[in-house]
Amino acid sequence: MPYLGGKEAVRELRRALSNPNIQSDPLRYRNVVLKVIRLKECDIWGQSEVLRVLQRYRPQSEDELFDILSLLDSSLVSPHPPIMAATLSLFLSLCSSLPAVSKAALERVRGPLLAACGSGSREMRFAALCHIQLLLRSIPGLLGEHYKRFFCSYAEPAFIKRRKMQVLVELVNDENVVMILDELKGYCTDVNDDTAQAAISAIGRIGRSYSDKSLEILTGLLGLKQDQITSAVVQTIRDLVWVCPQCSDTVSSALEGCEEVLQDCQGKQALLWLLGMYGERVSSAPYTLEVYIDGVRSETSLEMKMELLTSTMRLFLCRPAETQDMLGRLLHYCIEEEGDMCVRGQALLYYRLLHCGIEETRNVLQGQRSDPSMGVLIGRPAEPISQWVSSFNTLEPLKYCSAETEPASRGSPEHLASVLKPNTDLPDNLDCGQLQMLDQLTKTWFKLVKKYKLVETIRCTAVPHCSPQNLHAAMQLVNIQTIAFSPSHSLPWKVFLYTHTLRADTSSSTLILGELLYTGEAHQQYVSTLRAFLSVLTTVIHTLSSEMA
Amino acid sequence: MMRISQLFILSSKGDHLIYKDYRGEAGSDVVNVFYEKVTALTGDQPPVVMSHRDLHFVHVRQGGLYWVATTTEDSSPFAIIEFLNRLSALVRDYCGSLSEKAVQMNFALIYELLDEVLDYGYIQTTSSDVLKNFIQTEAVSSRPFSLFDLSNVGLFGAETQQSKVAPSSAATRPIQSSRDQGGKSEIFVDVIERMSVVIGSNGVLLKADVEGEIRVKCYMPSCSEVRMGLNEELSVGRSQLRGYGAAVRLHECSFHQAVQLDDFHSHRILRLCPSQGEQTVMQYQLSDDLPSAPPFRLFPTIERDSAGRLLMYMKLRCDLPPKSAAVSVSASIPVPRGSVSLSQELSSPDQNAELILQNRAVVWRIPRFSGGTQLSALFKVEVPGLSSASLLEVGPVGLSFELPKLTATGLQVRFLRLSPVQPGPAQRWVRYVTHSDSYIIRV
Repeated sequence: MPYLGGKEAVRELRRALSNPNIQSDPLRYRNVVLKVIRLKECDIWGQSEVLRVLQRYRPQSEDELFDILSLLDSSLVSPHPPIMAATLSLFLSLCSSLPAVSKAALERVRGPLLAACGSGSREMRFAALCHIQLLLRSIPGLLGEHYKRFFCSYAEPAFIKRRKMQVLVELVNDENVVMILDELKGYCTDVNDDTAQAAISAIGRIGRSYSDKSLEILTGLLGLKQDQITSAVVQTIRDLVWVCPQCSDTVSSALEGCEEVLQDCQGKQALLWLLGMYGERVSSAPYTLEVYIDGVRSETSLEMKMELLTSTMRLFLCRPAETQDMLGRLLHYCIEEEGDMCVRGQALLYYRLLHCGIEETRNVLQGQRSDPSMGVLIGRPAEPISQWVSSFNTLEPLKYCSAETEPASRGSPEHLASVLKPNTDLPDNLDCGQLQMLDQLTKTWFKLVKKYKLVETIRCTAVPHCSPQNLHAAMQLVNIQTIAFSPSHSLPWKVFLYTHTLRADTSSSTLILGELLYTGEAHQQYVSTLRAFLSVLTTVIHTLSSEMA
Repeated sequence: MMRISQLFILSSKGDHLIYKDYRGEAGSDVVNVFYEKVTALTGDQPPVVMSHRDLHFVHVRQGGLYWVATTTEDSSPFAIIEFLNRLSALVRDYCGSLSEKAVQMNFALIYELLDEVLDYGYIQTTSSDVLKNFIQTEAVSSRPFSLFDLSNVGLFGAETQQSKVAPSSAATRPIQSSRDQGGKSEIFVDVIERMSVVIGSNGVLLKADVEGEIRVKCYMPSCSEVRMGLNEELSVGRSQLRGYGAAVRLHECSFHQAVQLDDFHSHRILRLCPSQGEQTVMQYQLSDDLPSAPPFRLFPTIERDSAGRLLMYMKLRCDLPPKSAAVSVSASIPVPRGSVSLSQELSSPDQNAELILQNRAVVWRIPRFSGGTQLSALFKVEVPGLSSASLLEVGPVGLSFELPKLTATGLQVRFLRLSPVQPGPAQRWVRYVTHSDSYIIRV
């Protein structure tokens, strides 16, 4: 192809880079590279090709590296997405040992990427959205203020809307949460069921950090009495409660009446799970289960029957008088008449378990009520860029929807948890990522403590012996937020806390960090001690804040 | 290394229009595999990237057609999507329009283009300046030119002011025909803006973004320099301000690499040598800072009447300047599931409204809506078993419209000069239009 300026440049570069004579002479080598970078007459295809070939070149010194970076800076903010992406990919591979520079490059590329997200071509928008998701894995706060750019337009196809919602969930922060939830609420009644479902589960994801506002929307949606929406909401609530057990009270009051609306198997399963777990607070729970038990003969779904068995057993443990009769009927049917061996086996197991006594049954059935892993409440940890850099600017990010927002075909959360975490018998029930996270947190913590020399140790002999969830909820009442806490039943039990006060007279705010350690030697009883402890904590915080400001 | 293994164009019904294999890595049966994947999925558009064994399909939809490339996994999605878009733009330039019929009639020309644009799967060039030396085939146009040429001539051949408006179809002719049709040299400059607006239920403007571009479509056989002057009081960036009074502000803007910006900073003049066909000269954005009021406001009243019907009283106001008007306005109002029928009272006979069950929405169409006026409509929707909770399902109203001769940012082309002055009469057209990308009013 003789007529191409761009082609010539690429050929020249490739020849130079593979020529041993030039390679052995760093100065010539460098000149070739710089000459090619300066070539501006390439069209966009030539430029992206040059940028790709350049990835093979390793600069000899840091000066040279920065030289190349500054020469390429204009391509980084190029209005053509192919060039921008190829340049960023080159930057990230050149600066793999300089995280600060990589981060600066990601921040610089924000504008062009956002522009690509608003491109006239849907496909280009989609590609840009998928790559933004990659970037957000490393810098979660990168686009927080630009959340409005990810509001869906009504004419967009469902696959773009879904990605936009995934991005919106990542961008939530204290300032924009109300706006984002308002926007997502509008999509919940979308004519496309997939979009509606994705919106509902997105609200559920936001609920993990902002449970009150999200639950308000979700329970409001139950009022529509529509099977698909109700099913999606019940499933979302189940997943939310599993992670945030403190919102179970709101949930259990909202569940009444759902059973009449639910049509599909997934939704019914979720409802059964919730009734089994929180049946003692839902007054109509036994009667709801009874309807399902009476209809078990015509039930075709295997999962439904299994879930029904477990839920009835759980409900029997907390409300034996109302449930005994129907549990008997259910077990009888499943053992005597059921054709499926799985269901029959499960029923037999429960039957024999009941023979072992109520305490034994309780131990087996009422295990975890919530996600056993450590509850990290500050969202996802930032991943290092190297985790995704190899798939940047390839087709990879466009291919998969991330699994977490796939609402279809899921069983109970505890099954999911056991699938995802095969190593649950680790001593602390923490998976490795979280262990690292905790490690990192502890390190940063001590660094901070050293820096500010603000260690104030308060010894409390009367330590609450109630559940960590109650403590957590109580502390939220006095505006003390939790950063992280260790799983219940583990010793020593730790919570990292923070609170911040905004003074009206000055614009400055005070941030107070605290660490609560429970070593497990206390014997006292609940409420009064908890109150005493909290009052100690609040007074300490108040005095501290007046001193520091 | 980015390479394209095969490239094909399918109609929306799956007919093979164009198929070209560049590398012989896979058989032609992948076309059917692709179409099976497309039809297997429900929904409005299949995902952009689909894979079959180790082959990856990347497609874009343009002109109702699927433009598909097969490639390997490590290719840049941005480059392939940009390339497919560019290819469809080239086909539009060469064939005049983009449709199944145009592609069928010009298949020889398109194969010739594909031969030049890609070699062994590597992109060679997509510049029409380079390509014009290699493309020999004449475009076959599906429409006779005489029809719209006539509309350009005024009564008795007089050049009246009326005839100074270019018909919308004028720019849809093949670029090559200018060569031997006596060279009617024309240049079109289109300023196209897309608005995306969200207005809250309390009437507060929650989001107002404008994305715009200046497109030049050039039908001049010989390249000459074009000088294009934009508003002098144009300011770019968030802090900069120029002039007093009604400044035109853009937050970000970028230019085609062929544009020379020597005079841009002082006089807001762009200089460029356009190549034949269409190109985007400048792209710009404005976010959350509309210079004027949003063009439409809605005042809805939604209630349940005594007969259990859903009553929606909609008052729509158009806040454009009185001389301008919006055309093909259509408001889509989501209604509760299970809606059966609709009766309406509209204020004029040229409007219409219908209940589209598939989209679960009432669509109210207004062909022309003058600025400063207000229209109202009453819709009664029959919904069996309507509960008060169902009223919540009357979701955000989406408006789509077109504002001809108007830009939301206020950007204007002050002048358009060709130098050296063209030998023949060169016609210069500047057109403005604002589309609604997404105009949502929450109720």
